[in-house]
Amino acid sequence: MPDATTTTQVGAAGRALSTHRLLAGVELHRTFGKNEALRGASITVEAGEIVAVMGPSGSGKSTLLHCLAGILRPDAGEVHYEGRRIDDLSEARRSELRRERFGFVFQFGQLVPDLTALENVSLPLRLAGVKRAEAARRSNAWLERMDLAELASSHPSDLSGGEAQRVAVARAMVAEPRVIFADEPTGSLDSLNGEMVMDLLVAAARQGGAAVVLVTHEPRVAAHADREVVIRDGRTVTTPTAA
Amino acid sequence: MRSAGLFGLGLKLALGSDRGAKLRFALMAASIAVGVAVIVGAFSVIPAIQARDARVAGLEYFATDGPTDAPDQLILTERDSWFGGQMLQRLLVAPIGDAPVPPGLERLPGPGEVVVSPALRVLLQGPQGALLDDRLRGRVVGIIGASGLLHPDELTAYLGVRRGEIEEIERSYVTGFGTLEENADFPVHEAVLQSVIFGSAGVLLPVLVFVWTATRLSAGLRETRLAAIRLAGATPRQVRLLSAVESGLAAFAGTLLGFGLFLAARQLLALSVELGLEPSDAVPPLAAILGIGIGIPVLAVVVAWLALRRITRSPLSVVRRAPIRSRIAAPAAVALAVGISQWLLVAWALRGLGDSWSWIAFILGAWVLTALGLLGLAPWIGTRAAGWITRRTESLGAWLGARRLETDGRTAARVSTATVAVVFAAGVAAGYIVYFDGTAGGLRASASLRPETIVVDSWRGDVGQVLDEIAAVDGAGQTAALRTTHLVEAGTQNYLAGITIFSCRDLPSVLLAAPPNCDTGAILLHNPEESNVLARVYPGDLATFVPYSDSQYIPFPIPVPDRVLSTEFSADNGYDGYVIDEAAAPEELLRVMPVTRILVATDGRDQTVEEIREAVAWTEPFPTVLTRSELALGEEGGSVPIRFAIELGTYFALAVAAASLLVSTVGAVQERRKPLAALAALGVPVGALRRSVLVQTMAPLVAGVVLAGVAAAVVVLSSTPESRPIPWSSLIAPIGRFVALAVMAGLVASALAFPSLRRGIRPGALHHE
Amino acid sequence: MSVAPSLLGLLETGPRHGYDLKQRYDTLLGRRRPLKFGQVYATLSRLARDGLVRMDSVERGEGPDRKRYAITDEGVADLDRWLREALAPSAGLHDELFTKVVLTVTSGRDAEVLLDRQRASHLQRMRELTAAKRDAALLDVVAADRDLFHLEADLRWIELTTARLDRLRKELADA
Repeated sequence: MPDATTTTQVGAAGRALSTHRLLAGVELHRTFGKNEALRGASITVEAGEIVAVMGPSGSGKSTLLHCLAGILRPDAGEVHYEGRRIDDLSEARRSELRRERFGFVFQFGQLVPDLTALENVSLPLRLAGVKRAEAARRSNAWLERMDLAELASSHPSDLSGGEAQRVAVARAMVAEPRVIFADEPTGSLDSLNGEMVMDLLVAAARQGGAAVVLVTHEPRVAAHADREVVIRDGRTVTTPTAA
Repeated sequence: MRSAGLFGLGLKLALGSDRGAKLRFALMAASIAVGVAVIVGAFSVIPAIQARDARVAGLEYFATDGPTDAPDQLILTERDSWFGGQMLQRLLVAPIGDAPVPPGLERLPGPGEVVVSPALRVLLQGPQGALLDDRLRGRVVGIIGASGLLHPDELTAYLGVRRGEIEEIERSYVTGFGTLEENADFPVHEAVLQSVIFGSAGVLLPVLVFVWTATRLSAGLRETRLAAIRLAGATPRQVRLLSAVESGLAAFAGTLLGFGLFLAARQLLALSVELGLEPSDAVPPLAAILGIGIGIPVLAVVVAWLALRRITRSPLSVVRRAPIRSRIAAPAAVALAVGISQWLLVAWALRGLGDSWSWIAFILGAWVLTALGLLGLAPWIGTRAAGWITRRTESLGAWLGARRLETDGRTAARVSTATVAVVFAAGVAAGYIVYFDGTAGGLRASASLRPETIVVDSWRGDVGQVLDEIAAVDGAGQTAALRTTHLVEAGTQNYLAGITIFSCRDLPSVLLAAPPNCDTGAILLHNPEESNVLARVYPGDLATFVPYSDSQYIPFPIPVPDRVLSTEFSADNGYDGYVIDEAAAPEELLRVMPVTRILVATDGRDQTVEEIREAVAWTEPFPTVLTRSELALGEEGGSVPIRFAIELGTYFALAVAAASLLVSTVGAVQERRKPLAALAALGVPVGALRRSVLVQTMAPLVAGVVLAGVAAAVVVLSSTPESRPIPWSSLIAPIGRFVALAVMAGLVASALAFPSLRRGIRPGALHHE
Repeated sequence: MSVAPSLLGLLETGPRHGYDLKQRYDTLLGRRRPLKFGQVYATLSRLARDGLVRMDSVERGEGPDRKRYAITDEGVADLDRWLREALAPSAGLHDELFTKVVLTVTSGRDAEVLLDRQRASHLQRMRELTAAKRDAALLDVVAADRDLFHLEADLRWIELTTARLDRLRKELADA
């Protein structure tokens, strides 16, 4: 039985190791007001692998995801992408990184209500500078691939939860990202829809060679990942192997 | 839950522990306060004017030119002076028999005695008293009481003179003071009533929009909160009660505040002596006070009650909102079309209906329809503009903003309503002001004078003594005497041109710039384009001119001018026509044409002005002595305070509209925190998000206010009388000013929303539902 | 699940009589069904034969000999090993896991580590099942889901218990 080991990297060793990984967070700390969300969490992600970040509510999982994705800057610790530090970049540079390399799926409210599903999906392409017509063409192709073609001209408020999340997955994939960050993607869905969304996400990621950082508190969702990282009270937990 | 407990909960919700609730409460109360102050003010205008009229009526007198048969009369004449920018009324009186006493006086002053107003008394006792002594020539024996004063600060003096003295000059014979009818109604002139109605409507509209916008701020949040309470088990009735309490409290606080605002604002009335109003004059009728004081809170409660019907049907129905497409475009377009066509009808066919009330109703109807049509159509145009942007732009931010406008018609409406209303109303007001200015006639004389020049006006010709007196004053320098009259076609009354005679040599010392080509012996013809003198005047023809002091018409052969200039000569109230140097004027012309104005160069000191006034205070023909600024005031044509009030009102309304614009823009950003945070996470640069906010605000705004400006111009052009048309180009600046200000307000509001945007896109928004 | 490890665990704290042992078992671990005396003595003899327990002293009296049993060093080592092992998911797992948790807590061992290991083991199994579901016939998918849901239920219990460990320690110490 392969051991369910998570690697905890500390200090120089950690930094050295992180150069070989696609994405690495080293000893991350982050506080919001009085709330210490992260107190030394570390994580690595290899290219193409799916990692689940598990923990109870309030454990800091989403904060960890935001730090890894460059949405937030940690108060202490480092974040490396492809061997380079990204946590000390300016907001503009990190924003650039996100739109060029990352894709996102959130739990709620991520689709722009004023745009159709097609326009929502095409957003990352438009961000990358693709012209409107070309972006629409590629987005339509993705929607068809995911069996969502007939939703193309609907607005998010016309879609069911499951349909909206699948559109979000399409949007996350359309610009061929290297990493997809999914924060409780099935949190507001029923079991069947949740299964559909997870299957879709995993299949698309595998096909595109993208790594996935999947934040969830649900074991059945985490079971889609290659391995899990447990976070509790702002720290990532090491589980020793069975003796 | 018992009602008392519910009330307490409502109180707690309204005053809230979180900043958002407090802010919303304060905003609602403030906006209602402004509205209440305006409405109460509007209701007080008529009573104020009536109060003043009552005071004026008390001072009116019945007078005839010659002595009547009545045994008891008062001989009275008025010879005004000026002091320090304020008019000094001098009333010379001499009794016949048991003459009627003017109101406010205990007895008539005898020769060598004066009765003065309280403010004048203060002046006399002060350091400047010496400058007034000569004008009054008497011992102060009494103070005019309140019933004899129009305004507490006015400068008025009754001077007792001998009967013989007064009968040598123009005078009236007064048989009584006060109006004929006791307890007269003092009906207010219709023009005033119309102004009040239009003015308050114009100012109230943006205030109403502000109230609506302030109420809407975080309305979604409040609804969700109330829905949560409903889900927790409260009955629909209880929820509505809660909301009603919250609204009622804010409205009540706002109403009280509004009355306070009104009381504070009316103190400003005391500032203007010319208006003749006192703050205590502005008292709204009791019915209005009760109506507003009770009605506004009740209205707020009712509106809150009705607005929540949707929640109470199903507490979950508020969660998913479908985008609202603008459905009112068609009816709005119709309304606007009808309104505009009404105006056009007015312009071409119906001018001259007169001042009847049906005319007023028609105009009011056209006004309302145009305004409503504008309000309805502007968002639709904004949405169309958005569609145009969407198809053309490659900028992501602009595209996002435009798509939002296209999808959600409410956004465009929310943004443009307030400002469009204000720009329309302000544009119309400004246009009417231009019209009034235009009818006052051409250039202002005051604009051409040097600042230290004094103007001495008289109606009659014998100014030799005046000139002597002026020459004796230290500080008085070169004088230039102007004679002005006008020419009419021989045998008719048709106006041909003006004619002014003076000595060119004397002018440079009193004018900022001497008239061009003015040399000794010159004959110039000023022929400005608007009046086109040459169309009427043919050198060689015979005309007559009318000297003021004579009813005789004197023939005058029209001379050939040395030069024709396209300017207007303005040193004497903007006359077009002939300007002739004294040396070139025929002898008999100089003999019969009276000197109408003397310009005096001075050393510029205030002392000098007063000394000149003192010097001529008792000299025939009792000329008026004015400084340049006083002359300018008089030339304004309309009443300066009213113009000032109108302008103040329009800027105030614009400020209110800008405030509601800011509130709605920031509110729009708050409402969309989740999608915005998601976009930022995706990597949409903050700059693009800012551009989307900008487009969302500016596209409907610019479209709307430009349309409003055009509509305002149409309204003004079509409702001003045909006899004195104003060129449409003269409206560009005044109306354009408000369009520009509104656009600026939009830019500022968008910029101020940016920090809120920055805060809103923090990832925290992505977690909580 | 066999009773032997439980008895070992109960003996670790000190030598006991058979009767005593049964009482304690019933109180702490015998929620579902109480232990029969026969089973106790039979298990104890087997354990003694394997060298995991020894007889401590014998008191003569009425009824069966009141033999006192004590755990040997080998018995402690065996217990240790058992406690540390992650369980293969099975039907009886619940009882066994529960037993392990209780015994771990009462003996002062690190229960968090136990639970973490169990979680990792469960997740591994769940991963296998999930992977197997892809491209499988629907009936197989349904069957796999059944196991998945049960495993998830276990994991939820593990989470909850992890959160309650401190209080549990205190309560069991008082017992």
